[in-house]
Amino acid sequence: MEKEIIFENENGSWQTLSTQKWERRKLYQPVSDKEIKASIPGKVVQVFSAAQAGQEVKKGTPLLELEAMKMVNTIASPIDGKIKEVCVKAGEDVGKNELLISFE
Amino acid sequence: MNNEQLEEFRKKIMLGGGEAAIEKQHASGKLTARERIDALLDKGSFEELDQFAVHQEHNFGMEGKELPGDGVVTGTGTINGRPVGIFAQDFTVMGGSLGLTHARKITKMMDLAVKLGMPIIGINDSGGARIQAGVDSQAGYGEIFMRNALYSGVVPQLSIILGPCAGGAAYSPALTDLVFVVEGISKMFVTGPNVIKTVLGEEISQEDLGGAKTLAGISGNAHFYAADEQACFEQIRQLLSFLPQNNQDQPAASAPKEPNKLAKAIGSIIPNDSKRPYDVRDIIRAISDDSEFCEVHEVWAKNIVVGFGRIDGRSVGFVANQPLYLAGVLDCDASNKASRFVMLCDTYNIPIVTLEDMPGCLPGSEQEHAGVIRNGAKMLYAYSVATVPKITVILRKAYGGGYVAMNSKHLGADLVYSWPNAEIAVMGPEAAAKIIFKKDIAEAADQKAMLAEKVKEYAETVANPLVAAGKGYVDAIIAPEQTREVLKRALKLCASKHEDRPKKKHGLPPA
Repeated sequence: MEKEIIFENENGSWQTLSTQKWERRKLYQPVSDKEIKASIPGKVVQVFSAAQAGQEVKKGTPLLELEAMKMVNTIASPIDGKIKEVCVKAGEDVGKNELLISFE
Repeated sequence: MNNEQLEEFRKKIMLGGGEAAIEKQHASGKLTARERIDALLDKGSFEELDQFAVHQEHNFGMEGKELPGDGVVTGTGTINGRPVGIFAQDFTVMGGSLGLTHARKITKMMDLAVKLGMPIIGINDSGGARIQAGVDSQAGYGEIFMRNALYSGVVPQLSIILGPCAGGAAYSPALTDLVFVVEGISKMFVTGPNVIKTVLGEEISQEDLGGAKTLAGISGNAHFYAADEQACFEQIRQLLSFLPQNNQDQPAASAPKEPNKLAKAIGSIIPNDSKRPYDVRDIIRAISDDSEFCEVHEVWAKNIVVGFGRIDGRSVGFVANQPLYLAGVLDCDASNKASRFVMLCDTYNIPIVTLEDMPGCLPGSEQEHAGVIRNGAKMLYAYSVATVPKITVILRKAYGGGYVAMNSKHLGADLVYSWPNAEIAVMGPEAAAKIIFKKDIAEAADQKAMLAEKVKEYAETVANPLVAAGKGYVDAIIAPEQTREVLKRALKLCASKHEDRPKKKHGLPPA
């Protein structure tokens, strides 16, 4: 994956190898509490009725169940807010950091 | 110099950078170096060293400049009546910048503390290297680092970050045993937001980059997080009560206390459905004296819980899988957290109680690429080499490599207990049944029913504590309600434990 690059300035030129880290760098994204992402890869076993676009929910309201590593985790709303989109359905497999639910 | 003149001079030095600078320090929500020492140590116990030390810089306008104490206050005192060595950088004196005298005051105190066998506490609040000091400043940092490393495992070393601690300065706390941060005050990074913006074009605030929440919750650089300085000092007083003064000493015993009556009944904490999570800290609180639990790394790698408590008046270190987060899997961060804690306990003669509910290691390319092999290996290494009493209670799941890693008999556990509903197996029943009975399931008319039947068969024959107990891998199967009594007896029994290891210079733990 490395590629040769040549630097040049008034003092001369140098040849070096680039690991392409720069090209592949990911810039910092502030963490948003308006998004629920999967903290672990797993399967959505149940989407509760409160989890619907347009629904106003209170902090702590159970929204869905995610099963991973022999454990069923209830995912609750992190905030008081209005749901913008529910991105998953029961039975779906999700990857780590996949967006599950977004808030307005 | 007569007494009056001396007192006058002393008064001036005690004011550090002067009243205006002290006001500025207070305005930014921070105590001064001397106020911090007074707040942390037992009242009136502080004995200062090198109060009259002078700086050694001559160039760039430094000649003749007065820097009281050279920007650091050092000395000895007591916490809970037990002696400690302490330094506090004084931000009011030239931003607490580090010159040669500043560094040598710190190293002198460290040398004394180690000779006398007492913990070392550092309060960091410094703009970093004193540029005017040139290479002397780098020399100073290096001399501190070397002592941090050489004294590691000899006396407990604690670092409190109460202000900026940037660049090379950040490496001294990283070499110490435990790091404490305070909301809104601590800032620790190697390169600050300005450099990051210039080099990477990345915008990030100081707080997001290396504030208290980031240090304690994301990077794991800090072990303890507090809302304000007073709360932080309370944490330190509590923590030191669990540690011995040095590695030749035993932790101080205190009067045994029963768990708090408000603690949950130990048998009711784990849900009947083994796929449901619970907070393993409830189990710790149902076991420990007075239900006290001094949690280390509380907000980082929350899928494993580590910290100190007491059983029958004696300090113990708890290591417990936390089903409440990430199902309690062992991943890179959790392995780093737990293995370091096991080493800390072993170094300071604190028995380790492991509470196991371990579904296995987290699958995925992210973990594999992050080095889950070499990181997970740290757990195996730390438990294997530890010679303090090592006791395990299998609460529920004990699957795969995680079972081996969580202080199994095979790594040298002294005593292993299991609760009756434990599931001890090489993998989960469903995954195992799909492999073992692949043919039967494929050929069945009703594949789903056949799978369910085989899963049940596997769970009944294998995923229980009787198989492991039958082979001697589990010493006894105990009811949850017996756990505290059993641990009390086990710890008493193990108090005389002595184990020698083959002589060597040092091992090579996975990195």
